[in-house]
Parts: sequence; structure tokens; C-alpha cells
Amino acid sequence: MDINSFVEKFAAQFDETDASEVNAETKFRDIDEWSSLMALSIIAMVDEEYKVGLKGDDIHNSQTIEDIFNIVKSRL
Amino acid sequence: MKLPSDFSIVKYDTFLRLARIDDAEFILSLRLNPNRNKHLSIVSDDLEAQKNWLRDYKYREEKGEEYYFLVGDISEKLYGTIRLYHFQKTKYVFGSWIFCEDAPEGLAIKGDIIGREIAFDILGFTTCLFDVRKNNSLVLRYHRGWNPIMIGENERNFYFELSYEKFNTHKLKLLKLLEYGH
Repeated sequence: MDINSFVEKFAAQFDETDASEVNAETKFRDIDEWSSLMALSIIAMVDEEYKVGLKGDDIHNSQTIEDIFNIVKSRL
Repeated sequence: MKLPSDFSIVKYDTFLRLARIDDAEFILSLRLNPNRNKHLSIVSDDLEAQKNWLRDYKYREEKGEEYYFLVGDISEKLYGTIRLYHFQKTKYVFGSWIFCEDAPEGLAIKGDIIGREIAFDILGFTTCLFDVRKNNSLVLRYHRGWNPIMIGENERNFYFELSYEKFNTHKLKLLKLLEYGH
């Protein structure tokens, strides 16, 4: 699991956000399209791609995409 | 069963109450927000027309034909709406699901769940009907998580039907994610 492919998969969840504007340090809540539904979409993506179950609190307590990556990585 | 005109509910740290005519400004501001109304039918910037719509709605509410809810947090600060309408014998339509950008995380989902709980558990319906714009991919992904049956489509929308059983199954999963499950 590497951070670049995680960021790519994270960015792919967004419809209107240019993936080139998203990187590991991006504070995902600052992305205009961010919403509760997007959080669910990220949780589903992580479950599907990495077989890791994230909880709402994992997202709630994270600021950047890298924070979420680190949680997923720690549970692999 | 009919809901009383002063019906409100607090559940999952979320507050719902029936819409009032003086909510017109809030509702109009939501529906005119360009970041939120891309996938809704167009409304004009006309407060009086919104009030008139709500006056007509209150008659339908009184007759038990439709329920329009304002959704807020535990302090009753309002962030969004949901609506239950087009009641048939066992079916209802879920819609008007729109929330401010600054709504607390999870509130829109909890509003969705509570609204459908009211329809299924209090009003006694057994099937929820809803439609989603084909180009609204995020909302489509969300609704498909409920595993509904697609019952139709046209150029603009997909039409779905969700049973009470499927609602209850996926609700538990969502509540667990939102930290209200056991």
C-alpha cells in the first residue's frame, strides 16, 4: 500500500474536484465537494480496496488524506 | 396514522420538526444555493411564492397527505430538509433532501434515516420510492448502498423502490458507522 495510489483512489471519489489539486497533505474538509456522503464513499472505497473497516470517528478525527492513509495502513 | 401539527422528534442527536410558513426564507435560501441545488428542480427567488407553497403544503399536512421536515442539530439549529409525500396505500416518496454546506458531519444521513423511520415505523408504510438524478453520482452511490430495486429510468432520473426490510438492514450499518449502532 503506497500513499500515492491511496490519494489517487481518494481523489477518484470526487466528481468535480481536479485530482491534481489533491495530495497527501490536503485537508479533505477544505474540498468544496466534501460532505457526509463523501465520507461514506471514502469508507466504502477503503473497505472495497483494502478490506479495512473505517468508522465515522476515524474520519472525524482525521484532518488530511495522509491521516486516513495512516489509519488504513495500521490496520492492514 | 397522521402526525400532529406540533410533531417533532430528537433522535441520534438530530432534531426534526414539521415545516412552518415562516420557514420559507430558510427553505428558499437552501434551494437557491448554487452549490446545493444543482440536482433539484429550479425554483424562483420569490419568498412570497415559497410562503404560498408552504400554505398549500400545510393543508396537505393537515389532511395527512404529506410531511415536510426541517432538520437540525440537538440545539435545534436548522441545516436542512426532507419530505415524505405522494402517499399511496403502502408506499411513500422520499425527497427534498437538501442540507447547508456547514451542516455537521453525518446530519444529512441521520435526517434521511429518521425521516424514513417516521414513514416506516410511525406512519406504517412498507415501501419507500425515490428518484435520483443520473448525473448526481455521489448521491446515487449513497442510495445504492441501501440496495434498492431500480424500477425505472428516463433521460434524467433513476427511479428506485426500497423495502422496509432493506431499510432496516442498511440503517444498522450506517448507524454503526455514525457511532450510534451497537
